[in-house]
Amino acid sequence: MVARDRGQLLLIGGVAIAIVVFSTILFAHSLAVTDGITTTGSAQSIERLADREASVNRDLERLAAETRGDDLDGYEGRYRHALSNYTGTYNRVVGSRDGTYLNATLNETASLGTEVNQSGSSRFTRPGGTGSNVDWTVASDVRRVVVFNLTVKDIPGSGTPFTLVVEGDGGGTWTLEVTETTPGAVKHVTVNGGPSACADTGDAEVDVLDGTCSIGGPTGSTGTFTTFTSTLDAPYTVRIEKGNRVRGSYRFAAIGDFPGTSYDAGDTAPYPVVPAVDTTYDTPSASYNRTVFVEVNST
Amino acid sequence: MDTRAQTPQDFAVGVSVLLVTIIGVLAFVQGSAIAVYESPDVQRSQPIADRAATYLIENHTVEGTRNHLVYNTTGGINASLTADTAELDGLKANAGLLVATERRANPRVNVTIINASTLYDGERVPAVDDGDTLAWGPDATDRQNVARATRVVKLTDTDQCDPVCWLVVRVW
Amino acid sequence: MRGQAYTLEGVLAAIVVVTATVYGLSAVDTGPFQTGAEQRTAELDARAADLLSLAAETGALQNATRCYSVGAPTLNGNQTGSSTEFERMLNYTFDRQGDEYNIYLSYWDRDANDRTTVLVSQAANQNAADNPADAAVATETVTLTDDMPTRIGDCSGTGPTLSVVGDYFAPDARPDSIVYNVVEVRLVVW
Repeated sequence: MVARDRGQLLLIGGVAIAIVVFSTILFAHSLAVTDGITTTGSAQSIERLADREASVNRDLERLAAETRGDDLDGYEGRYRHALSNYTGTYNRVVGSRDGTYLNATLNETASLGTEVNQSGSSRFTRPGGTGSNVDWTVASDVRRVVVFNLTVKDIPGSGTPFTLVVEGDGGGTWTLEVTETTPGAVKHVTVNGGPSACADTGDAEVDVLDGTCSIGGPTGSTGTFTTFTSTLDAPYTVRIEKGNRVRGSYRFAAIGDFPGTSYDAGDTAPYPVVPAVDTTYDTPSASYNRTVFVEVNST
Repeated sequence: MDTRAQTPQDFAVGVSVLLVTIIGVLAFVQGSAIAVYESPDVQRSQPIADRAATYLIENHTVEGTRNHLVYNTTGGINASLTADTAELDGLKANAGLLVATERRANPRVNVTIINASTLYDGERVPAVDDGDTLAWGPDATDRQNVARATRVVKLTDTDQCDPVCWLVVRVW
Repeated sequence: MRGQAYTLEGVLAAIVVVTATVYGLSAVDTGPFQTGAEQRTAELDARAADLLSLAAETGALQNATRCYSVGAPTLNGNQTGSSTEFERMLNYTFDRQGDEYNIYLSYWDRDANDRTTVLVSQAANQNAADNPADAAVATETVTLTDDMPTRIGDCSGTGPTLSVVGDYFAPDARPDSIVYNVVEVRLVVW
């Protein structure tokens, strides 16, 4: 190479190659791009969020079923305690890894369900409202019953039975009678006019939902009967007839219409038959909340 | 040499630096930048396949479950895809597969269900149930550049999906 | 007197070429594009997430978690005589298709006051297969309560409940509540 006869060969050559590379990249990109290209991520991320919500909802259902227990009064407290422990552990295990935090609290006002109970030993008459004192509707348009039990202590008088009537969709009925021919004699629990499910002296305890009865304590007579849920379809109407004939206690919690003809304000109380849980998900990119109705399937 | 001190070694150094850089740049551009442009057909069809699979799953899932598809009863996947045209036009219209960013797309969509025993053999042959082949849409065998979306599902009222079945949507 | 002008020229030209490349590449957007490897990872991602979601919903994942460490030493679809439904699902979806995976369980350890992770698809930690950086990852949670029975004896028999069982891998995170622990299952597939 003779320095005299050439200019900046290397520099010009380098610049030329730079221009070629630059324009090749741009032209190749515009040729390869078609206007049909879209990002694929959004459908996937929505489904992952739905999976996470489904998983949390399953856990809420299990906790609600396990805290239900026999002591109905403490249910809200137990469920709240379980929820706070659950969210704490969940956030420690899952939240610390991917930054999504969960907050789940029981929302009592949004929970569905009403409870009516009579403790002690009183006649099964209408608690409030107007209308007939002895033949009254406990609830109508009942969709879900979670507690229904009654205890008959004694039947004074001439032994006219008291009848619990449940009407299903389409008009079918199911009846339960507790009879005692004379005070202090053997009590009989019969369903739909069939043979006695239980017969003994003493207090008759009937779990209408489970279809079990027992009279006279654990050493007395126990039996089972067909439940109204297995023979009738919802919505139900639950009525008591001749309620003034017996004395005892009962407890009924369901989702339905508790009519003003049978109750005054204060005779019924809300009860979380279907609890409502406010769930809040805090992710790095978004925060959203949802009120979930927890269907508790009795296990 | 004259007084300008441009010895041949100087030239060699300069040329080497330049050539090494140019070769390095070309190798880099070819290796990583151009690689993302491979198979543009598949990349154009991949979002369509994903959307179709998501639509089929979300539309036919049993209420309250994840990835349990209604199979043979009304509203099930077998019923609605068999009632569709041979090119699955109903599916394309409902799932919004005919639209791309700035113009209409015209994808060809094939949907198949693969049962558990075929999965065990590692193949992708569509399942056959009672004489019905669970494959809908134009045939995709021997086609190159096919975008595929695979979802793991379970079908109700059939025992072909023990433990799982696959729903495969192919788009080209 | 000009010094090594050729060298200077060469270096300058190289800088110009590199700068042009950098400008060119930053002028285009290759975000939406996926290479072949990324497409495969996306497909495995969907499969893994679907599998975990289906297993959690049918209860298979919970059964497998209750069985691990008391009924089954590992949760792996590839072993002979594997018995849980979850392992069968893994076998059909991944092992038979030639994909490899690792499964990790994470839980809260109250004594260590820390989140602990164990590898469950192999018997020893050092046998974990090396996964590449772009492997597909899917997660799902399993909540354990005190009254849940463990699964023993080939995972089909019912054992003592979690609150009383001996050497379960996860301790009770909340002893004064029915919540036993929350286990996160992580599936890494490639």
